[in-house]
Amino acid sequence: MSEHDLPFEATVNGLAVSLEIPAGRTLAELVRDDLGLTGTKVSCAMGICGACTVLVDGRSVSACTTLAADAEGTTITTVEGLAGPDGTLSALQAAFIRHGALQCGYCTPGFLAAATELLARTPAPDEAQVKAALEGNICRCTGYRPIVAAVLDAAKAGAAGGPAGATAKAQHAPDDHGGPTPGFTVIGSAVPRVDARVKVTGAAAFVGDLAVAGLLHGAVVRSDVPHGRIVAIDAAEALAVSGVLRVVTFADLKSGLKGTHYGPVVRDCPLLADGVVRYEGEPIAVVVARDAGTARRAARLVRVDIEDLPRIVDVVGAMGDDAPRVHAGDGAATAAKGEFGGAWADGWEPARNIAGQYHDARGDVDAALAAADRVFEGVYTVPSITHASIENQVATAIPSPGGITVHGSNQYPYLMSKLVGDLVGLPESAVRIVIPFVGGSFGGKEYASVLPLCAGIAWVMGRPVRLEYSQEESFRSAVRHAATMRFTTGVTHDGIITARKIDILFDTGAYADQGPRVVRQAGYRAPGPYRIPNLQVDALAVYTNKIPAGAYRGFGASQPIFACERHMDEIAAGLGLDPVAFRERNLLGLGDDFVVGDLPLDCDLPEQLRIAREEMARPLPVAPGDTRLRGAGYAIGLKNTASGNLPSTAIARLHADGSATVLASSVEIGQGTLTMIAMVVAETLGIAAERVRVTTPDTAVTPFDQRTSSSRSTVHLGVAAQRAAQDAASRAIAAAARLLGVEPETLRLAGGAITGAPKPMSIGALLKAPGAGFGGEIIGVGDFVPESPEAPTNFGMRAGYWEGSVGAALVAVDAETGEVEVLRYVTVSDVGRIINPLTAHGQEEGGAVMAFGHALFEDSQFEDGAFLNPSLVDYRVPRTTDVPSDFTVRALERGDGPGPFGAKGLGESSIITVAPAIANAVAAATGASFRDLPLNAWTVWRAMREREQA
Amino acid sequence: MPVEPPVETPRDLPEAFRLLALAPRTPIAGGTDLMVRITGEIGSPPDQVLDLSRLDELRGIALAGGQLTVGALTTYAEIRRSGLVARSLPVLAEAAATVGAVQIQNRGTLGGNIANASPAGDTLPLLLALEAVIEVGGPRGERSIPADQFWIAYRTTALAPDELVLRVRIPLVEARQVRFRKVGTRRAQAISKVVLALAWEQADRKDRWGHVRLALGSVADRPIRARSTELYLEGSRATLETADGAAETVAAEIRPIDDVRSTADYRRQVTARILHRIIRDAGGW
Repeated sequence: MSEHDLPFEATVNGLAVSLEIPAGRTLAELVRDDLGLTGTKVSCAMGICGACTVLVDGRSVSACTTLAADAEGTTITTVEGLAGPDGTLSALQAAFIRHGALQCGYCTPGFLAAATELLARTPAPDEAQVKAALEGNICRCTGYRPIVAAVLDAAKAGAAGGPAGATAKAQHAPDDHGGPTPGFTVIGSAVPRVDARVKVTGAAAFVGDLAVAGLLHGAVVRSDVPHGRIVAIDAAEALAVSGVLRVVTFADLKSGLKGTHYGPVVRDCPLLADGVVRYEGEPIAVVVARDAGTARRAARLVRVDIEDLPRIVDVVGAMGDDAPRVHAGDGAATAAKGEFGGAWADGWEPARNIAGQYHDARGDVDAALAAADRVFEGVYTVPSITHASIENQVATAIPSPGGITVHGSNQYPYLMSKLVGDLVGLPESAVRIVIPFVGGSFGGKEYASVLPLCAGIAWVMGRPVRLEYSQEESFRSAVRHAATMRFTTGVTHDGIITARKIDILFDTGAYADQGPRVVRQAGYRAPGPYRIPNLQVDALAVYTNKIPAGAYRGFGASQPIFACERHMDEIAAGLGLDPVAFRERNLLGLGDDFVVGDLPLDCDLPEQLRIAREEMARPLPVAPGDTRLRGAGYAIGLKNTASGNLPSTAIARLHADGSATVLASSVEIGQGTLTMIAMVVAETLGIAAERVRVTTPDTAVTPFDQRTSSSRSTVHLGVAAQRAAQDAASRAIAAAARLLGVEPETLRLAGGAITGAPKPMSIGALLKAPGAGFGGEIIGVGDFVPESPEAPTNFGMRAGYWEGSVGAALVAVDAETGEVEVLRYVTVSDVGRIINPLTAHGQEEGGAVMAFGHALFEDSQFEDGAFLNPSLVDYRVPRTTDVPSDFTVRALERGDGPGPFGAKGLGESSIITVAPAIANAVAAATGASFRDLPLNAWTVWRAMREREQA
Repeated sequence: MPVEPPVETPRDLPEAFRLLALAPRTPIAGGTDLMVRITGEIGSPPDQVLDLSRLDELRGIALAGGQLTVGALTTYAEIRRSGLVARSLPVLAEAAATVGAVQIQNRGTLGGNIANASPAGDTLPLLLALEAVIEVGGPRGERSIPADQFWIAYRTTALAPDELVLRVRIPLVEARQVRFRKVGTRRAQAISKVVLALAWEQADRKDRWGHVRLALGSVADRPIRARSTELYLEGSRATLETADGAAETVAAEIRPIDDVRSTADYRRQVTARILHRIIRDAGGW
């Protein structure tokens, strides 16, 4: 016991705890590290996100900013203590499961703690009280309404005095069937998520919760300038700190690894700065120590001498003839192609600061614009924004003789396997990538730097190493592309589009990352879902000295759709037409070609628009005294999804008791992929979904999957899993038919047994039967093989299916403060077939609410290349009180998708139309013009004043 | 993240004063503002930390001699739920309710808000408008500092290095009207863009205002009184003309800045509009 240690006694989850702690221990460290209660998560470490909320004497507190000493003598309850001693869930936990009030689950323990205090103080709260009580907790996945509904429902259960779960089944959305879809036994029912129970009890393990013997911790030394040459790195003082083992720099990686650079399209990015820093926050060195605190403290003592180089702070500066180059050295000019490589890398021209590009033309745009009755032009911008997943960037790498295992929070297990193999010089068979639950990603963990860097550091150390970025470091690791977009459109007087010309500049930051892919997708989708006979698109992803921009939910669709849909409203206003009617005149319908040679549209946008109009027509009374301006706006978006060569494989294991295990490498980022696979396999095998277990990815065990992205898992892994289950079932049926001497066609698998013969035969009996030929279980394999990924278009790849989206917003604007409130939101998608209404609507609604932030306040601000607001203190994301209760999710189901039972993917459709729908509504309310996001209060206020003065 | 500087946890006020007599220490109460510095999330950690959490002498709310006394360690949640506050000074509960979310209100203290001296400190304009007196103490004894002499520069207070905020005394005035507004109130977790507190007394039978006190947050390097606007309003009635004139005066008087949360122009004009609205509402317009 050192001089500052304190005796600490408390009751934690009903048990007496007595130990000695340093006086400066935080309550979060006490709970997680000293007591091993890892259900409590730390994210912002600043008391602003609510993830670490625990109850101290029944009061919710942020454990990250509370000294453990202050909780001395109290009663502490963490998420692990909410269920009864016999494991009976609390009414709140049960309601969270029933309502789909959790997705990735990382924020869930904090929400449960805050809601527990609320119901203890206010047993029958109203909706406003629930929202206020949960305003300190951020959820990036659900959009909050399911959480609010769950708390209200739990309160009702408490009032009824009934046991948890006694209330009626949650009716989550209007097109929830309330049971399986007719003709199915499982599909279409609101089956609770298969990972719900572990996520409401704190048992779900994330990468940062993994205990590893002998684990070392790394802390990253980062550049404090946007562009400069490293003159010297002095680590002497850091190395003198007790507990520090080594300070790793690029030189150490160069001598210890086979590869030092990475990048999905071109490998232009060094794991640690290769003599030049190209953005503020770029990793320069990693201090490795016995504990994270020591590593962080020592990292501040590493002195890096950097000589400033001319910096490129925006896309305009990057494009000048005499602009400095972000990648001036020979290294970048010869950068190897990354895991995607191929045609994606074709437009890479570092000598012109261009990371990627897309060009397309049809007809004669200039002639058509010259001949048009009217020509409209506008320049639209969206800022750089951050993913802000509640789980920060984290990886743990464990080298072993001749191999390496990396536990990561990442959407690309198999691409990471290849990358790590290339970096350390091992075959794929010696690299094992394990992805447990991921605490939210939204693209931010598609191609995260932390995983390869952690693998490289562990490899040169020869010891297990964890790199766990702070929230600020995570904010500095990846952003969505800022964009400047010029749209020029020729129309006839009666509103028929005759020509459109589009110029797009994407700020891709210091390294290419996914930029070349994002900008090609953006250019392809930019024209919008309209008939446009004459078209020209030029889109560039431009290098600057800023944070590398990469994937973000919506992947290059959100930015041009904002521009396009604002532009459409401006044209309609200029022509004196109703904006919806103007769109309808030009809108592509079901079966129409977006581009000849690509998949004809498999979404019915005109019908979606009709539904949105119908929902918006419901009257919404104005509260007495509410003098705010009101306006409504619509937007339509189209995203070609799961394009290209994206194979998947799944393995189904049929056990003796009729239950099944599915081996698959689909990453559970909160979207519900495990539940989807379980339901598809359950339907196929004729058993209940809870009888199917689905693995998370472990590349040593689970089969290949291209990646978890592009809203593709339901289709691609869904089909692979369905085929794997069918394969296992046919093998079982074939063997049983042989043994029984009947035709296989007369038998079927249902309820874990072979039926159709005079007596049903259980799987157990079949396995034991002499001559059946099985080794203890029945294994089936299923592949999804894309049939015709190539399309004879400039884009080069055929869509797997289309995500068509219609969004509509009704807003109120305070004329004196410029504050915008969304009063109603309607989102309509076309999903083919809903596998599970809870998770399907969760994706639609959560995606839409995420974009409320993009529309109204999110903006990663840079000044001369420096990032000004890298935390949730100054970067605001939506909270409970930003979401209207009048929120409608509708989906068309024609059963015509390429996925299992006619499903399509749906993870990104709602998000792409939110910002333009809200912006169009604010413009309609105020009469002012809005071409730049976000529409924060002072922007709206200024636009209104400018209009008054004009 | 781990706390790095040494932390001491005195059991009572005399022990705290003894420690402060040895060397300056950075006091911490609820930690909602300070912990981010102590853990190194923002800025550099202080050398030594004094954890006040066990100083129960500094808790509690009392009413005596026409004054409401609030102990420095009283949390916002305690202020919100206090029957005494609800009866004697409800606007204080209203202001406490706008400070952060539940997790902040359960930990954050009035004394911490005062000592932290943020220009955006939510309760500070109200303390200025109510002419609160801040009682401080240390090994050399206690003294009282009027609120308008307490925040002397950007994040700087009149506290000596060995002094702590002990409690706040707020005079209760029968005829006083008080209004408190925070732009973004609906979103309690947002750092305020503008905070405004206005107090006045009905000076005579002609509805003229007297003893007008107008205080603002987030529009200067510290919470301020808008004295020109106070003078303008002194002796006025709540008419539309008064509202126009006061709005114009306050817009000319303050010098806010641009930052990541808002712009100077917006803060100036919105402050003016909110004041306009309060005066209009007071006059029944």
